[in-house]
Order: sequence, then structure tokens, then C-alpha cells
Amino acid sequence: MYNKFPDGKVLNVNLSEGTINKEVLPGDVYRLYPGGSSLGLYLAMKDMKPGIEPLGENNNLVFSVSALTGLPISGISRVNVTAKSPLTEGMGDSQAGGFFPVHMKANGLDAIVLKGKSDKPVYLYIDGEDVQLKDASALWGKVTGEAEKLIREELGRDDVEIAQIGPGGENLVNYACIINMCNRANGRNGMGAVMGSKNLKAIVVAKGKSQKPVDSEGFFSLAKSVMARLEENGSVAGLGKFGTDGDLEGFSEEGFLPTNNWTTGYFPEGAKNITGETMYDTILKERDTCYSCAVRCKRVVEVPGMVDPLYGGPEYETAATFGSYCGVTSLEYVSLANQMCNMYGLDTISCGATIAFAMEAYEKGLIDRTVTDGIDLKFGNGEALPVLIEKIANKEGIGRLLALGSYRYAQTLGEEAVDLTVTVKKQELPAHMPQYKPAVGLVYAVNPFGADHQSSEHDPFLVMPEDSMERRRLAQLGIQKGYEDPFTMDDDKVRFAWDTQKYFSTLDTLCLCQFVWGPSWELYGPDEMVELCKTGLGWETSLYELMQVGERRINMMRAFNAKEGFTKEDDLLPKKIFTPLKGGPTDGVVLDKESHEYAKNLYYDLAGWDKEKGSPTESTLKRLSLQWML
Amino acid sequence: MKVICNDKTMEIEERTTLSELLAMLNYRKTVAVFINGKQLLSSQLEGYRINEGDKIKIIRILGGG
Repeated sequence: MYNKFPDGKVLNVNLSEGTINKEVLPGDVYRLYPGGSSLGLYLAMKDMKPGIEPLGENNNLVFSVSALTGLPISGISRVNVTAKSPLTEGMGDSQAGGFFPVHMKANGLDAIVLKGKSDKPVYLYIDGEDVQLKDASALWGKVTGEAEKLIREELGRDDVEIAQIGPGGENLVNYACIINMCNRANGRNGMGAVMGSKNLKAIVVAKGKSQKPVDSEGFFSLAKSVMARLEENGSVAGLGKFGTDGDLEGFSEEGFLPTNNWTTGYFPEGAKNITGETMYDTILKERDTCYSCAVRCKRVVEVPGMVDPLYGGPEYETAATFGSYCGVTSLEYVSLANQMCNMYGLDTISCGATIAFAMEAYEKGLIDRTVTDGIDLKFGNGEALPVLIEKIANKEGIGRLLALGSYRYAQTLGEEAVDLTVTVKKQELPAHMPQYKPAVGLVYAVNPFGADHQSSEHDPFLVMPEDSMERRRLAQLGIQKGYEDPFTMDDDKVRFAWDTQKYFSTLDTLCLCQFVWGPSWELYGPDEMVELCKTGLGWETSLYELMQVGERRINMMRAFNAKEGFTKEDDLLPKKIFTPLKGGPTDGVVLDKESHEYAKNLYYDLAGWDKEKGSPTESTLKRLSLQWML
Repeated sequence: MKVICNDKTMEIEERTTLSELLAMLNYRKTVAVFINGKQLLSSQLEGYRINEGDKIKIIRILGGG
């Protein structure tokens, strides 16, 4: 039976005018941008001119889920937020899990487009056809846990999900995030600051019913296979038990855990303390989950009198940025830093990395106690973390400078300080080292929204045996070559980077969790992603079409950025990556600059981009039905 | 018997299997294993019996997240 691709349902909210209306996106258009980041980009960029201020009222902020969201299967409840980023100044986006996404969809919405700026703090309340802007003056300045409680009290109902900003977003910190459930973050790219610039405190959605699959038998056969898949999949089962932080100590032992602001990859004095296994054995209170997901990777930790389980627990990136990046060996202080970021609405990666940069600048004498408000900002000072996070969120004292992000702060200090930063397109690097994972490093460099570790598959999976599930799935994408180490960079690795970047881009479009759905180690592989679309939605698709969906998204961002003046000169890894690491098993290791530059040029060729400018050519945009972006 | 594991010489009991060696060395995560320069298939990892003088390379697979 033929099923037409469903129409998209879009809620348009003009905050300047206080108007709200609904719009239908025809199925043939929605199929090109079937949700998440792609849909967000399409809706945000349609009437956005280059050169607008990211924190001005002409920036469009879009919350989007996908055509698949709400189907009862693991790894399907993700919400994407898109806008021009105050951190990178190009198009930005960020994804989060939880229950907000499925309930946004249950209210009949695929996207919420927020334009203009309210003249007073408001929140958006959605309960089916009842959509209202409500006064949020009493919520402004409140941390997330408190605001969530007040909203529920005001509405007199608990059956709502809330995505909100904290004081960090209200005060326009460049890396402010959006938080739902008080512990799930649309963390990167400063989307919380854009929301704050619109005087929008929160979006509240009433809970509703999940989506029914078109082919019930086929769909539930796929959904119910999850337990058997978990049983057989050591990587994902490990994620469930120890969280994303389970491998942290291993990274240090191999010499690739970014430590002391990326000066070394070795953290023997602290790695064991802050690893997921220690968390499991000590402060883990419970494992939490997202809608309908069997993995339960989410951490909930408790330190009586210090860390409240309401705010979840640290992921690997958070443990690294507040732990090893800052030389902090205390899991309790790392957990408190995580809590403070979730309370105040700050991205843990950029926040921790910016503090780590300031610590190195302090140790090198580029700043002193007169700048740090008297704080002894040396590596290892865990007690400084909560103090600094509060200052950043409220833009007080040194917090005003740290709120800029590490790159902009360094620019105020001079070239020597800029050389200490670890950013791409002004966004701080996550805790996966390009020296260990050169294909990930390549994607860090060329990614349109700055360095991101969830934008492509990681190099080590190519070292798995050729009969492994990981390699057999990658072979389905035409990636057959195996390696004896993760460090090698060659032509096939570039293709691996580009092809898996497209795949991950598809996942961010379909709003699928990258621990459950993916091209190698995840629970469900390429075949099953196609099967999900067919049985869940009746979408007669193919891996070819889905990969093109992902490619279209990357090109949309690059084309917009090109109009903003971005060139290949912005595709630069920081100097530190080419500076020898100090100490441990990777003493003296650098990323080879020549092979990295060669890889970038080959990447532009594979992507169909102009090698001189690093932007999509006219024929590439036309091939992807993006002629409207010319 | 003597084997070389990740460039270090070590003494292990005869008839040790690879699974036992991995447990002994506390490898609890996914690994790739090369014996005398040749990679073992996933299907060979479980029961592989190590021989005197084997040169073993164990690579821990550290992914994303």
C-alpha cells in the first residue's frame, strides 16, 4: 500500500507581536527535510538574511522533532534546536533527549518556530489546540529546578514537560544551553542565549499519546528485538551500566584523555576517581532513561548535602572538561559542576573548557588574582568550579570574561593566550583527541557548527575484525578497509569521515539517538534504520535517500555560512593539536599537519565543495534540491 | 611460557586462552587482537589458545559518547 509522506505541522510564534499560528508543510517538502536539524535549518533560514545578529530579534529559533518521533522504540526521543549561533556566528544546532520530544510531537507538532523578541519574559504553553504565551516575569532569574516547580504549581498540573533556560541564557552567556527535565541539555552552540535574547524562559508541553506505527507487526518485531541486541552488544550494554563516562580511565591509560587544557593526554592522578566505573561504585543513585529506551545510559548521582539527584549526573564529556581538562581529581566537584551547569543552563563542554583555558593562562602568568576575583585559578582547584560557574551565569567579575567563551576571552589577552585555546570556529573541543582519532579531527575542522564528537563515527571501530558487527555494518556504506591502529590517516579514512558524517547528519535529522542507531557499534544499524522508516511511517525509503538527507543538512549549513563570510580558513584545528603532548604514553605525540591538510582538501572534493572557498558548488546544491540557497 | 604482549614480555601458564589473558590484564571493554601480525576474527577471540612466543597486540576500542 502506498503511503504519502506525512505533512509537517509547524507552530509559528512571533514574540514581538504576540501572535501564534499553525502552518502545514506539504509532505513532498517535508520529505526533503524530514525533521530535526534539517527541518530546523529549512524553517529558520527561509527568511533569515546573512549578517543578522545572533542575539538580535531577527534570529529565528526553531525547536524540531521528526516524522518518526513518538514511535515506541528505543533511541527515538530527541529534540533539535536550531538558530544562528552566538558562539560560532554560523548556523548552530544542538540535540537533547528526555521526554519533551515525544510530548511535543504528541501535541501534533513537528516544529516550533520562534521569531522576534517579547517585550517581557514569557513562556510558551502548549496543550493541543490551547497554545498561549504566559507571563514569566516571576520565573526570570530562577534556576531550572526552581522554575520547573513554579511552572507546575502555576499550571496546577504535573503532566507537562518543560524545556527552559536558566540564568545563563537570560544573561546571554555565549554557550548557554536549553535544559529539559533539569538534566537533559541542548548543550552546544549557545542556543540558550538565543532563547534568552527573545525573553523566552520556557516551552511547556502537555503530555500526550505516542505515535502508532503504520505496520504494527513489522515495527514491533524491530522494537522488541532491543533486549536481544543489548544482550549481544557489549559497547551499548557498557554504556547502560557505566554511562558514557565508562571509558574515561582507558583514555588516560592510552594517553588520549585531554588533561590540563590539552597539554597532556595522561591523567594518572585523577582518571580513576572520575571514571564511570567509580561513579557506579560510589555516588550513582540510579540509571535514568529517555522515552521508550531500554539502554538507560543516563546517570543520576547523589552526594548528600552537595549534589542533588534532580540534576542528573556527569556524562563523559562533563567528567573530562571539569575533571581532566581542569586537572580536578574529585568526582564530587565534577558532579557539583555538572549540577551547577544544569541549574544555570550552561553547556558543560564549553564551560569546563573555558575554565581550563583560564587555568592555563593563570599558570602561565597571563592573568592573575586581580583578574580572577582573588581565586587561585591553578589546575586542580575543584573548589573554584562552582564559584566560577555561578559568576559566569550571572556575568559577575571574571565570569563576564569567561562568559565570552575561551576564544573570545583569549583575544582580549593577546596572541599568546589565543594559542592556548582549543576551539574550532570559536567552539571548544569535546574530549576526543584528533591525535588519536584523526578522522574525528577532520570532522572537527570542517563541521559547519564547530567541533563536535557526535558528527561522525570514531576511528577505532575500523580496527575491529572484519567479521565484527561494526565492520560489517560499515561495509554496507562501502567502507571496507580495516586498520591496525586508530591513528592512520589516508584516503579511505577521509571517505570514512565524510560518509559517516552524512550518516550522523541523517540521525540528527531523524532525531535518533546515536547510541542506539548508527553505522557500526550501535544497537540498530543501517538496514534497521530503513526498516524503521518503512514500518513506523510507511515511508518507502532507501539508505541512499536517507544518506542524501544527511548530506543535504550539512550543505545547508555550509551554504549559509558561506554567505556569512565563512571560508576554508575557518576550518582550522587549534595549534595545540599540532604541539607535542607532554608526559605519559603519548609524550611527544602530535597530529601530522601535512596529512591533515591533505585530508581536508580530499574531503572538499568528496563533498563536492569548492576547494578554494570550502563551500558547496552550484551543482552540489542543485543535486541536493537546494537551488533555493543559491 | 613466554609471550610478548603489547611490546612487553610476560610469563603466562601454558594452554592459556586469549579470553583468560584479557581477563587477567583487566580488559573489560571491546578489543581488537593481532597475533603475530595477523588479526583474529571476532569468531576466533573466545577460544583462541595462546602459543609459546606469540607476539600479541591488544587494542582497546575507545569510541564516542
